[in-house]
Amino acid sequence: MADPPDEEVRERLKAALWFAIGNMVDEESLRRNRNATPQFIAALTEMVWAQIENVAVDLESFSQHAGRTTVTTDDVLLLARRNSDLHAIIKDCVDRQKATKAKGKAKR
Amino acid sequence: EDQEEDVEEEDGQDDEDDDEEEDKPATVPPELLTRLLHEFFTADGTRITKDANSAVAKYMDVFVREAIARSAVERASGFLEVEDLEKVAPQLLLDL
Repeated sequence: MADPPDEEVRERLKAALWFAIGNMVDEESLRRNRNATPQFIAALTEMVWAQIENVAVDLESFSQHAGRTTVTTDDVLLLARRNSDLHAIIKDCVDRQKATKAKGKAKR
Repeated sequence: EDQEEDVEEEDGQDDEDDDEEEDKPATVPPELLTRLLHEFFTADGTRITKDANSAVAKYMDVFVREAIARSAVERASGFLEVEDLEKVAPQLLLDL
């Protein structure tokens, strides 16, 4: 199987991430009436990219530790263990998803 | 090209226009996030549930907004710059 060169794939993924981060920054800029330089957005994108890598590796480790090959919401909650506010936010998100599912129909 | 079945619009095309009637806050698109996570998983068989993916999206959302908020504190007014982010990065990474 000929895979496209990793570099190319990663560049495109990073570009897509950059776009998404840019949107989020724009939103916050509007709310806070503060602008951010393009360099800020680029640097933030790099940081998010690195953090997603850490998150991915951690999640994989957690699920493997639990004897699974599939990452679940429990693993994500473990990720937030050091920060109780963050943990509460994630837990709330997870609980609401479960409640939506419990109503019988998948939302999407 | 099997790996690309999860993500059809990688280059940031307006996936979010569908939801414009509701005020949906900007976030990392789920498909993109899945694709990114898979890029970094070290074992071939690793999967992630849809709910877990959403939860990670939420985590990254908090991460990004917290980064912006902390950077904004660093500089009283004016454009947020790279050096503002650099100042807040270490603690941010420790806290989250």
